[in-house]
Amino acid sequence: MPVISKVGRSSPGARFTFVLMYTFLALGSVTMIWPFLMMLASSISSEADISDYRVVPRFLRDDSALLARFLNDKYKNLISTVQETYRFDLLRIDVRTGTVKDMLDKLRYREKLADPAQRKFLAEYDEFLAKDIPVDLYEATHYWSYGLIGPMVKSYQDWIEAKYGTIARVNKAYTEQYTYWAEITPPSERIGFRDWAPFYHERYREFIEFKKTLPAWLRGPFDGGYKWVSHLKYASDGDIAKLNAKLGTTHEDYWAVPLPLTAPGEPRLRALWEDFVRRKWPLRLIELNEQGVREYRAHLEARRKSIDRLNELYDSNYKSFEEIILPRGEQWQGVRQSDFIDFLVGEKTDLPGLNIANLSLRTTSGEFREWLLARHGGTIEGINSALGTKFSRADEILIPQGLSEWKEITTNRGQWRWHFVKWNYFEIVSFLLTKGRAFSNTVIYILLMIVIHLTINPLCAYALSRFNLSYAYKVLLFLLATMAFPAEVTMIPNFLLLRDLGLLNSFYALVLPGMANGFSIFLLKGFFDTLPKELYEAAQLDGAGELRMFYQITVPLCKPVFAYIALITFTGAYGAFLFALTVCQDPKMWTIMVWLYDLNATSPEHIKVAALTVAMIPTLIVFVSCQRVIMRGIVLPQLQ
Amino acid sequence: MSFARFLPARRVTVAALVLASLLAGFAGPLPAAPHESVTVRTWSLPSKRGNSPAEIAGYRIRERFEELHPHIRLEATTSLQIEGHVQDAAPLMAIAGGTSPDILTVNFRQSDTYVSQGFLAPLDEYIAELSREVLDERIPESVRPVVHRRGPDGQMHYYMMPSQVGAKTLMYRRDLFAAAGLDPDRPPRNWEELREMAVKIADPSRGIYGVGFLTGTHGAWSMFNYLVSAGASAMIQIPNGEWRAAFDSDEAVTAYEFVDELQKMEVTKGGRIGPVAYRGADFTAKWIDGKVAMQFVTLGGAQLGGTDFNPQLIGVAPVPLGPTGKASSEVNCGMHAIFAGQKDKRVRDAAWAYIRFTDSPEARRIYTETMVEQGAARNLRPKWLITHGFPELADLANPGLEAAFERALRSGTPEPYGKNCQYVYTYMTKPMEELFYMDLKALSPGARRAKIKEVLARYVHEANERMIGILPEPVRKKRNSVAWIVAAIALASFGWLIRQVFRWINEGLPKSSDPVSGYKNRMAVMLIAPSLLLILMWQYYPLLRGSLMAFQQYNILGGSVWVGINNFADVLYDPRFWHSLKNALYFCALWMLMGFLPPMFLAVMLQEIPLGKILFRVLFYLPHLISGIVIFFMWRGIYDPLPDGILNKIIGFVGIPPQKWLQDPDLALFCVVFPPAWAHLGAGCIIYLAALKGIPDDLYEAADMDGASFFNKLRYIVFPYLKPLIVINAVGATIYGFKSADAVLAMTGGGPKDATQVIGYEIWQRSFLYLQFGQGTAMAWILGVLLLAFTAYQLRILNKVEFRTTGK
Repeated sequence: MPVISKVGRSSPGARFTFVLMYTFLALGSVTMIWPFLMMLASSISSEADISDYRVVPRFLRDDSALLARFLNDKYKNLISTVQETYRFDLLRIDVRTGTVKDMLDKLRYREKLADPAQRKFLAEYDEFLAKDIPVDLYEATHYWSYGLIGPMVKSYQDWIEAKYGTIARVNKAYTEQYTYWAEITPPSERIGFRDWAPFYHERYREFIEFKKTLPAWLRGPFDGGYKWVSHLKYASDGDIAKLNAKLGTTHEDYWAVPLPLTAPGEPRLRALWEDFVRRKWPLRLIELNEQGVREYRAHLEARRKSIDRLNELYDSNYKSFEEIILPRGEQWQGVRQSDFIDFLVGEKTDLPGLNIANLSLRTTSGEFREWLLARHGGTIEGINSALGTKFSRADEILIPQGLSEWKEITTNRGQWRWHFVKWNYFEIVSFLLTKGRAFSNTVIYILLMIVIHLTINPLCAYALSRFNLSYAYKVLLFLLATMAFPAEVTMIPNFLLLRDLGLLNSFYALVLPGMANGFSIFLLKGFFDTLPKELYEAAQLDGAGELRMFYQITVPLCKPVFAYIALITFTGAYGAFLFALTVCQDPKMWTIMVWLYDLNATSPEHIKVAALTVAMIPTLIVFVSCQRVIMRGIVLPQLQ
Repeated sequence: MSFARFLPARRVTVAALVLASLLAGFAGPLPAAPHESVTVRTWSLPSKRGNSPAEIAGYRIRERFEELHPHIRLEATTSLQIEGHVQDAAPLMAIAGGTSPDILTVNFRQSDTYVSQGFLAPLDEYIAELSREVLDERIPESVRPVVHRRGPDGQMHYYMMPSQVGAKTLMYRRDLFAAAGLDPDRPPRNWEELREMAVKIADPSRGIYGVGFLTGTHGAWSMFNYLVSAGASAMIQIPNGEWRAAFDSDEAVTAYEFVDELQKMEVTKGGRIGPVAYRGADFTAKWIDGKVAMQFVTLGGAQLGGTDFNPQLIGVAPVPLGPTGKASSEVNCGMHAIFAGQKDKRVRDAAWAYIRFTDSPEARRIYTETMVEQGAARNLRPKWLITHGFPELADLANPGLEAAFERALRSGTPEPYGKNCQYVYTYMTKPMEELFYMDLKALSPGARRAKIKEVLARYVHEANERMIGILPEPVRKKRNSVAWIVAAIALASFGWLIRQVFRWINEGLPKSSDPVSGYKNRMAVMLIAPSLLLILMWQYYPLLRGSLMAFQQYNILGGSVWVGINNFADVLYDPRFWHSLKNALYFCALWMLMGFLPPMFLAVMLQEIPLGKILFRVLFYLPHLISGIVIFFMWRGIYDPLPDGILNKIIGFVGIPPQKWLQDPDLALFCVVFPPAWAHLGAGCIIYLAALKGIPDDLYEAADMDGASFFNKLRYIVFPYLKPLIVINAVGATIYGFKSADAVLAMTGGGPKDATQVIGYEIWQRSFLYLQFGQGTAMAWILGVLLLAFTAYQLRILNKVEFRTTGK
């Protein structure tokens, strides 16, 4: 019953008190809920918006934030690739400071999408990207590290599973030792790196098959723009005016300088371009015309003298130098590669080199131009009249990759939002599922603890309360007295004892040290003392044994306490991680909490928060469903 | 065997044979024959799963090793990666638990602990296998004293093998240099230029800083380069092999003076005044963000620079010269060693074979080739590219990289590696912090240097006493006698407590107890025995063993030395102990205010309000569902010290200027206490709420008749009724407040300026981080004695009250 009586409630003083109280409670509630909501919000965030600290994450309302999330996931925060895709000097992806929003405003994507000509052009590109883009010109994006998965890797795992059916077959085919599908990761590609070449042979070939099945949004085409712009910046100290002065041009910014695919005629640009191609362009994306191939053969012949020597070095079986073609695929490795680099760079002046005019570069934009031309009568005018665009030169046609992504995001908004909301949780659950025994360890540990705490301590308390023992209080004191000593003293010896008994890394180690608890026995004894003695006497007359009386009289009468003890034990065992780790350092014995802590230490912030949110769910369920138990089982001291 | 004579002779032989073979099966593997395979366990092993070029390279090196040594099986020992300090503790726990791998990874800081505790097996016979050139290549001159040192037996031994030595050098943002009108190709060559350039670059209006320094307990790490460039040392080894802290030399004064000046300098640009140097724990993040122009970065071994190392943006330069024309910087690396607990010679040989191979020329070749093949050539050390046949790739690297690295390596000073020197940065940080908060401007240059020297000498003294344990004999004697007195008092108090508790309990003893029948007695013993034995085994025995540790110089691998009362004497005369005790007192007071009182008021409010009781109860209970560590991490985020951090934004609405929260020595402890108090509020109030419900209605009705006011009713009805509960909670809260360490561990690690170094954390830190179990335990005992009165009172109350649940 409230302190303020029913009658007194309407007095002005009482009303004022109530207003004060409600103000306090409301303010307090805000501080309670708000961090909670913050945590929920952070658990569905990513690197792009983790520091935005908003209760309703911005990507649920704002398309630019949605794009920021998309970019962050797709390009793993590799800002150079994003710069290339959007042809814009985006310095970082950050929702809080709105960097992507600024970029979108400057690029005027919204207006572009409203233009029918742009839309037609974009539709053509989308078709090209989904169907006809050469497989060596795009990477499978959405690649995740830190032991996490990501949508592309997930679909790769599904693909492998559909192809092989069992893990054993995968292990046989790839000579691996996987245990779970979720452990399988695709080989990584670095198309934009100058000297990268695929490594895993059979796996890589099959990965290429998989890559062809990828939807457009998981494809990241390489266009060389960033490399070119970086080269130009390097050559002109980051000052576009310097570059214009050097080349005699009037470009507004670096991104406006087209990348020539063959040697330009203008000598100053040509020099810059030659340096770029010879030293920086990815080797695999260079093509030689017939004259170039002849020069290549001449270089090899002069260098390696005989075809036998060359075959030995290349592990090949050419009959003559005339058979040699440019390396392909995995052959871009080792001596073949270093020979080609020497040929290309041309520093070994005693050997025949390459005339820069005999070489051309492959980019996605270049391929797209060819594709468009082939579709629309082979001329720029054909393209313009079919699509309504106003291109005047072929090199103005650049892939609208950024626009395509923006369109994808804005047309399927709902799907994307849902994807981002659920993904972190998906990561956590699949992480835990791969950790085989995490679930069973946790369940066994908790059940053991509950069973033990509901038997050992209560039975002892029962004996102390029931039998009027002359030594009961001495025993109780003995059990309680350790409370007076600082707990820190026993921490290390406890561990050493477990070690000496050889019990580390077993359920014994988890359970034994905390089995009996003096305070709990003390409490329970107090309860048992208050139970009416007559009940026991009656039962004794009926011939009931002590254990039977314990289970049929004591337990039912003390249900709330027992329920409360079970609950406390559950939270204690479920939440223990530092102790659980210390005594069980073998991962086979780790509980969910320890695994989550491990995940916590190795993964990015947003995954951590999601992991902690997931960890909260069981506690939440138990507490919500046990509201009554909590309220009824609270132990209150009263003066005797 | 005595029972043998009851058995026929032949049967005995057979039985013995069977027994022997069974025993052999359990006794573990017999010494393996030479052709059998050996298993070597190590902390981390490159795996096939890796995708990054370096991981692939690592795996290929491992594959090659296994190809060359088919009889050696490599096995990785998994261990949890724990944040913060505990990271250093995990391997120690593995050693203590007998689960340590054969190959250990050791860092400079901890090397002395590992060597002096006898964790490491000497490598001399193995090192002798190496040729002079290989030795010079793998153990550069500057690292030699770290790995070749005096062991517990007093002899010089090689204990560790460095892997991929790294050195610090200056990195600078070319873009910020250019923006400030400086030549991006002309980095500072000496301290003078560094200061001038820093001033030119710093721009408070755009949040740009010239240089940066770390704050926090290890803040001095960021000034180590200045210290050694000035010609000073953090620690020195005197001829008898003992270590001394030495950062109070004249050279050190020069370094501290320069750093202090740099840290206090201010510039005005764009109408805003602000510091030239950034100070903060997130200094590295600032550098990555491009807000700090110059930083000393470790260039590590084969891989120089990180993956996003952009030569257009970031320039590399040698360390600027100090006032004496000398430049030096920190040299550091991971080191491999063989665990001394592994006695099997074959396993040791195999472990050495792997250690030797991982950084051999062949491994380096595989590494280089793989990195090139994987397109990561530009992260490689140019020298390796040239050596291994890719000279044309070498010029892609940052110009000046190789030269700066070579120079840093040659002139480098190893990170402190002396006795207990994991502490040394802590002690070096303190004078840095103290000077920062001191006004030195008014002093003449001579007086300023004298003042700095005085401050430094104070901390050097403290470091020597605490870290090294240097104490003259008479002082030791005097302290020990004091400690004996204290110990006697403690013992007497404990005796008194035990007697007292006996008395109280006897008072409550039911006078007439029926004679217990034999059956009942047996039953009782059966039911009581499990608990009794368990408590005996898991509480009394560890207590005894732990108490003995307080009188030992405890060594976890065995061979502990009895030191008598020394540990207690050291603790009693340790200002850190008293400081942390004072902090604990303050912590406790704050906790009573914020953690103990509010739940009572909340309970009364929840009881009174006519509407929304359940709703508010659930809302206030929410934080209790989040586990402890999460709450601390969450609040650490809320206490963002940046002006646009969450809490700063909120107080900004009320017009309060931004605060540094956890980084402000005056606020930090308050900030640490608040989160657990906040989380405890709802759960703490539930118990009072339940108690309030139990107050009989007629008491209120009677009071109403008498016309009692709200507060009168609280005073005369509610309070007396709740009193036992309040008292018990108050005592519990006091004890918690004194012992609590988790919040400090998770949020501040004791900083800033030791403002949150509470006793519970100090005990934990000494025991688990610095392996000084003896001192830690001694401290725990003293704390126990100090809290004795509370514990006694708690036991007394417990004895007087009876407990009931709310629902019955």
